[in-house]
Parts: sequence; structure tokens; C-alpha cells
Amino acid sequence: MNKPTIDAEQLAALLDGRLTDAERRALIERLAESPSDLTAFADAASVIGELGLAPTDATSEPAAKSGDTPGPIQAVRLEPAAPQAAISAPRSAATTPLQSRGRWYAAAAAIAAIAILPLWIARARPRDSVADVVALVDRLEPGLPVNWDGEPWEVTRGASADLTTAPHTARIGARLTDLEVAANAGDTTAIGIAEDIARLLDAIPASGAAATIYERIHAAADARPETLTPLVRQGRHALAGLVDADWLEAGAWVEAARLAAARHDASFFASGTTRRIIEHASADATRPAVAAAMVGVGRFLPADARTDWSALEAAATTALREMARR
Amino acid sequence: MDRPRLEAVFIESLPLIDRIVSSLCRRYGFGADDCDDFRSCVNERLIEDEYAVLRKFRGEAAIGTYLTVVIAMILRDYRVRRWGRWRPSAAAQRAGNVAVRLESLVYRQRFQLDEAIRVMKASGETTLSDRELAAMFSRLPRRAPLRLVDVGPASLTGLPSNECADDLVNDGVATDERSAADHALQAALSRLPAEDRLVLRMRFWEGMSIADIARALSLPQKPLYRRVEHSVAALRPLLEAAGVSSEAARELIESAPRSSA
Repeated sequence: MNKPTIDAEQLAALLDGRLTDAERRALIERLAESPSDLTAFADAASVIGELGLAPTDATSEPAAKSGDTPGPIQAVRLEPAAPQAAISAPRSAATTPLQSRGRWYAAAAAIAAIAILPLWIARARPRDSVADVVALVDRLEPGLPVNWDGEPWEVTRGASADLTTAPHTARIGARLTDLEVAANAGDTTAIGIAEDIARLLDAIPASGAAATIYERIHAAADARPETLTPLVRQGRHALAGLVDADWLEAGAWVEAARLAAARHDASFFASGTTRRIIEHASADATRPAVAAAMVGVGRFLPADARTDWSALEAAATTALREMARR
Repeated sequence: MDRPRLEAVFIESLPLIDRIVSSLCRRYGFGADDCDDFRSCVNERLIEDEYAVLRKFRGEAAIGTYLTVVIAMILRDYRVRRWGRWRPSAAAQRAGNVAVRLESLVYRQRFQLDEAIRVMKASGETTLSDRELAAMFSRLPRRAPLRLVDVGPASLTGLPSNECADDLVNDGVATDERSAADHALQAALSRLPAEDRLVLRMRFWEGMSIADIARALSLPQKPLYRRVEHSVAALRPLLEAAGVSSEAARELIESAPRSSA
């Protein structure tokens, strides 16, 4: 016997963050067991995200018991409401369903307007998650060293990507750096690197649009910077919001560090971005091997003419291997 | 209840309803005709029984959100009625609207791939090249033929089909293996807390981005990436104990559309 469908307004209240803790828990239990209702919920959530709908802050007084009291729809004024602010970013940790109380809008006159007109589809532009590192990469000597191994991690031929995302995202970040450096020099290896990135994106949900950009780079008629650079930039922007920004940046930085070490570039290791990334990764308790490897990189700093550059490059390679390890 | 007022609300809501319908049609790869038909269906359902849907609204959510959920539920019923259990694969949904549309044209409407590409380009649905569309299609899972619910006039010649009896046998064996793996995966999922289970389903079965999941469940986005990783890591030993590799689990998730009924 089929379970009854979940009430539409309850699902809407969940999307609006208007349920009490207990209501939310109960509804999530039901959703997790009802593929049919989950599909409708997921569809609604996607539409709300695409259209930038935001919950109104309309308040109302609690419903009176009288049957003559107008319901929330009837009490609505029909003149246009003020435009809604679009949902442009996920709610911060400070605004959670745990803090929102269930408010009862059952009666009346307190709902001022239907917040429908006009709709904005004004999404905030996602943060360019590797912009700081790209700024560093642009200062590196253009072009990859001869016989450069841009994938020093373990590669299992024919195996599809694991479902975990952090190592995968770090690999993408590293290849992005290689792509930038190669494209800056008009190096045709950029075309092959773009294909690698497109392949890595296979495992990332909703990455079709981004993958298409890298496929276009792969299919580019030439590798001149004026041809590739705009596409490389588009690709970076397309990735924003698809993958974990921290891991993308970390993978991009550590590959850039390898290249900087290979080029004996001390200024790279003196930057604030380098310090920030090393500090953050060294303190990450969720991946102790990565943290230890980044501590190992940090031991060589500050870099100068006396630095053992081969050892620094080896330390950065170890860090990248650990980041990319599944 | 005041019918004229409900009617006025419905009329004022029409621009929103139209946007919601269009967004859902894109999500499911509907062509223009299907979208128009669905739009009519939605309007009929909202009007029927003296605007009962609007009359039921209690004000516990924003009206825009409520209408979005209602229309999504209408779509669920509409799809089942028209096309049985067809729905886009999770892989197509992850790849985006163009992939969903391409998959729908080939597997639901039985176009050959080159015909499907021509249809999409003629209607201005994509600016991708033929090569890019073909490459996109090659990354989608192969689908079983639909049950015949709404048979159009398309010729039966040239449709993809098994070439010989061995293929049928092999397909049958593969189906049994998939069924066993599917049971193991569902059993492993049931061991997770409800919210983690829900997040995984939204991520891998519904093809939603982490950002959309965070927004839908009012959860902070950044920790959600690691939470998904930890949930998947928790599944792995359970699947391995049941003899299912992570490769097999991944294939299941990407190729098997979940039941919508």
C-alpha cells in the first residue's frame, strides 16, 4: 500500500526554512523514504534556485477560530509587491532551521501581498575560487618545463572516478595551473591538458557546461594565448560553485609551487597567498597526511638563493600526491 | 470562500506559474509541444474545484514556494501518466539541460542521434557543435526501451535494438546483477542517518549541486562537501561487505532513473 503523499505546503515550508526542529526532522525522515516526493522536492528546489525565488518575510497574526475569518489567500492585497531579493547564496551557518520557529500564518489580513511580481533572476556571481592563485601563476615563467609531469599522482587506467570529491577536486586544481601556464606561453600541451580536465569533470555533478568549455580548448585550432586565454578564463568561472573552492585552490597552488620551485622562483613563496594556503592546509585535521606534507613544504620558507630547490620541489610534489590520493 | 478573490490571485500568479512551468520543462527536456501541453494541464489543475489548490494554502510557506512545489507534484503525476516511469538519468541531469533534452529525444521519443541533434539545433535549443553533442551523448548511460504508453508515428526501422539472443541473455544477467547491487546499495543507505541519506539521494540520484542542496535544506554549503564525502566513505565498507564495488555502485546511480511513482 502506498504511503500518502507529503503535503505540498509542508515541503514548501521546508524549502523556506519555516519548520520547527521537530517538524523538519520528521519531514526529512519521510522524504528520505519517499523517492516520489523527493523527486518533486528536488525539482521544486532546482526551480527556486534557478528563478531566484526567496521566502517572503510576511507575517500574520494567528488564525482566529471563526470560520468566517478570511484565509491567507483571501486576505492578500492584489497590488504588486516590492521586488523580491533573489536567493544568491546559501544561507550562512547562523541562519538554520534550528533557529527559525514555526510561525502560523493561517489567518488573514496580515499577509500584505503576494511576493510574485516581478521576479528577479539575479544570482550573485560565484566567487572565482582560484583567483589568488591565478594571480601568482601569471607571474610564473610561461610554459611548462620540458617533460614536466603534471600528474604525479597514482593513476589507475580505466577506473572511473571515486565518489569522493576532495582528491578529485585537487587534481582538477592542479591541472588548471598547468593549463594556465601552458596557455600563457602558447604551448600546444595546453590542448591535451584541457582534455584531461574535461575528463576529470565527468565525475562532477552539473559540470556539463564547464566540461564543454574545456572540450572547446581541446578542439581549438591553435594554442595562441589570444585564442586560449579567454576560454581558460571562462572555464575557471564555470567551475566556481561546482566544486569545493578550498580544494580547488589548494590543488592549483601546490602545482604552482612545484613549478615555482622548478624555476627557482623565490617571490612565489614570499606571497601572502602562499602563507595563507600553507597555514590553512597544515592545520587541516581531516586529512593529516596532507597537513604533514604541507608542513614539509613550509619548512623551506622563506625561500631564497640558498634554498634547496630540488628538495622544495620534491616536498611540493609529495603534498600534491597526498592531496590527490583517493 | 471568496471565489473572485481566488481567481484574481490565480491570474496575478500566472507570470510566476509560467516561469515555473518553463523551468521544469527545461529540466526534463520537454519540447515546445509537450511544454504547452503541460502548461495547460497545470492551469487546469489549479483552476479545478473552484481553485481548491489556492484555497488550501495555509500561509505556512511563501506562496511562490508553495506554487512551485504544487506544480512540481503536478509534473510528477503528468510524467507518469504520459510516459510511465521515464525520467532523465542522474548522469544527464548532472550534465545539464542540453543533455537531458538529448537523452529524452533519443530514448523517449526514439529519434536517431543525428535527428535529435538536428531537432535541437533547428529549434535553437543549443549552440554546441554536432561533435560536442555527440560527445555529450556518448557519456550518457545506455537506456532500456520505454514501455509503449504513447506510441507516435515514428518508423520502427533504424531504432537501436539488441542484435541477437545472446545480447538478450547477457542483458538479463546484467539486470540480475544490477538488481542485487541495487538492493545492497539501498540496504547500505538505510544505515545512514535520514538527513545524510537525503543529501546523498539529492546529490547522486537527483543530480543536484551542493549549493542547491544546501539552499533547499537550509544547511551551510561548505561543510556539505565533506559531509557527502564522509557519507560515501561510510557506505564503502557496507557495499564491499555485500560484494558491491564502488564502480558498480557508481554505475547504478548514474544509469538507473529512480522510480517517480
